[in-house]
Amino acid sequence: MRASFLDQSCAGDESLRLEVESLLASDEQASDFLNTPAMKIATEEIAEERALSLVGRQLGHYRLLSQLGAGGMGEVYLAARADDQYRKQVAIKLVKRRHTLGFEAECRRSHIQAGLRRQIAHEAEIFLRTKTPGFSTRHVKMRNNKTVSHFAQFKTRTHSAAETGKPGD
Amino acid sequence: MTPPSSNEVTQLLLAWSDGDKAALEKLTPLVYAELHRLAERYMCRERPGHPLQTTALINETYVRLIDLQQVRWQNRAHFFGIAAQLMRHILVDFARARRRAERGGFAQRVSLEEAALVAKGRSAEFIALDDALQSLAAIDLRKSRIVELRYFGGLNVDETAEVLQISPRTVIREWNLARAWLHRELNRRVGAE
Repeated sequence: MRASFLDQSCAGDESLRLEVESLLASDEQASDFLNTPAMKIATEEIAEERALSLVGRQLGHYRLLSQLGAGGMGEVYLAARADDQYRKQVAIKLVKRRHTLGFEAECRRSHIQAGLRRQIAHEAEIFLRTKTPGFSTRHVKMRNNKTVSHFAQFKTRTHSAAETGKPGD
Repeated sequence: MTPPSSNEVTQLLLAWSDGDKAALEKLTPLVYAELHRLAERYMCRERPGHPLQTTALINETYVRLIDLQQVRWQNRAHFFGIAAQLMRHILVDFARARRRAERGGFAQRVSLEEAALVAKGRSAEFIALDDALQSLAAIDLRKSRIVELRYFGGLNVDETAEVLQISPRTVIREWNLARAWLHRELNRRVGAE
C-alpha cells in the first residue's frame, strides 16, 4: 500500500523516491532518538558524576573539599577538618580503588594482604616525597586498622591566627 | 555569592540575543549552577516509583532563571526562542568540556565499571547533533528551530507552536521529519569516520 502511494506521489522521480524511502527507513530506526530533552540528559550526567565523586565525603576527621589532581595510582584532594578543631587545609592522597579495594572497604578490613600493604606504603612514600604546589612537606600518615590508607600534606597557607597546625588523626 | 535576580538573568538573555557576547560569559555559570542544583535534587528524588518529571524540571529551571512576569509583556514566544538557543550553546559546550575531561584522563581516575558509566555519557551526542542541526538549518531553517526548541529548549509541542506561530500539527509533522533526517545524517557521519 505504501509502495503504491509512493509510486503515485513521486510520479517517476527516482531520486525523490529514494530520498523518501531513506527517510522512512531512518524514521523506523530512530525509536527513542531525541526523545529525552538535552537538559535532562545533562542533569542526569552531572548527578552520575557527583555520585561517583568523593568530594564532600568525610575520611576520618577530614572532609574532602575538592580534587587537586589525579594520576594513574590515585587522587589528591584538598580537605579540611570536619570538626573545625583546626582550620588548616590538607592535601590527602587516596590510592586508587583497584589497589586498595576501596577506601571504605579498607577501613573495615583488619587483615590486609601483605602485597597490598606494601603497595600502599610505597604510594605513601612517593606522595610524601613529592611536593604538591602550595603545600609544605610537613605531613602526616593517617592510619586505619594499622594500615596506612591515605596520607596528607599540610597546606602552608594559614587561614586563622588561632591555628595550631597540629597534624590530626 | 548572592544569587542573581531572575530580572538580571532576563536582561542578560536579552542582551545576549542582541549580540552582547559578554552576557553569555555571565549567563553560563548561572545556568551551570542551576543544572547542578537540579542534579542534586535528581539524586535525592530519583528512585524506583519516583521518576523525575522532565517537564517539571525544565519549567522549574526557567522559572528560577527568568522573570516570566517581565517576559510576558516583552514577547514570551520570542523569549523562549532565545532561551532555547542559549541552552543549546551551553549544553554543547558542556558536552565538549566533558569530552576534553575524558580525554585528559578523567576516565582513568575511576574504576573500570565507573569509567564505563562515564564513557557512555549521552551528552557526547550534543556535539554531533549541533553540527548536523547547522546542516539542517541550511536547507530547512524552521525544522532546525523546531529541534532546537524541543530538544535543547525542552519545550513541548504547543509551546513550540506558539514560538514559531504555526499549528501543533505542523510542529509534530516537521519534528518527525527532522528527527528522521538528523538520525540518518548522524549515522552517515559515524559511517564516514
